[in-house]
Amino acid sequence: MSELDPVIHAQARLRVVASLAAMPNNASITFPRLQKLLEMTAGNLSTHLRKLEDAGYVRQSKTIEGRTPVTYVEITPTGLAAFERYTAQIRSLIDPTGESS
Amino acid sequence: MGEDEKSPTPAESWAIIDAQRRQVRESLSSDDRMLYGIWGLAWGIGYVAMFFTVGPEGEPHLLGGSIFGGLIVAALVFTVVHSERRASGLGGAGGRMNARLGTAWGASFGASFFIYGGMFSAGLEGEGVGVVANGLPCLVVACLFMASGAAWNDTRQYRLGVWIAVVVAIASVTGVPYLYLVMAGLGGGGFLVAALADYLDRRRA
Repeated sequence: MSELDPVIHAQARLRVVASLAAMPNNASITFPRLQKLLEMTAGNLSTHLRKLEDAGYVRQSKTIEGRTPVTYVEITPTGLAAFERYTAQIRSLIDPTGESS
Repeated sequence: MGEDEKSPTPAESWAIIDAQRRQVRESLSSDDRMLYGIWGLAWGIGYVAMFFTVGPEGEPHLLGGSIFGGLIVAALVFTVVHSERRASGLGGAGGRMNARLGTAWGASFGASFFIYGGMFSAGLEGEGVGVVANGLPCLVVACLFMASGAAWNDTRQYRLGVWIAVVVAIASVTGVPYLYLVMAGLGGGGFLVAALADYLDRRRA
């Protein structure tokens, strides 16, 4: 069993990654909506997103809608693969025999 | 930040992943139990009203048409408000595809009204009017459900689209007034079965 990914294996970042991986139809989400969903402060969320972005797991893109700048956040294919790997590791730690799946 | 950086136990990790999946689904995805349920009731009650008020020549009655129309408009308003609220703040390729599919609904129904206009100005009368007036928008619904289901890999929506196409075909060859009962029972029933299936899926998840 290889070591759990330290970028994902922290409470707050796991919540962020699990949410982004579950977006309906692989949609991206605005920063304020993600903040509301996770009930995190803007500063806290920004810090975790930066760490995830540095690892290549998350992409943030800025755009202008109307006259307002909007930041969209989405999980990258690398991030999704890392999350799937992490989920599989957690599943095998909880249920090493794999009998419940 | 200390608590945030804390490494959860495997059981805690699993609970976090599960909780976030549920929260995203409940906050950002359309609730198909409600949407299919409401359309099932609108079709079921609306078409039964049409059946019981239909005229001797098969012409729709104002009362039945008003009940049906009112229910369809109510279901439509609910669908748009619910979907817009849930999808608010979502973007990217998924958001664009949803916006295009939304436009496709508007464009298809808009075109249907022009076909009605052309049909009436060409002098089409009698039972045929009822068959076409019912079949055309329902076929639009069937096609767009199949397209959305295929685009999003939503098997239930795709199958519902196929089912509605079959129901429209059966209703059209049945003719007025029994086509209204076919639409109520098999069409409205199809929506209710889809709503029930989604309800059971959520309970199992």
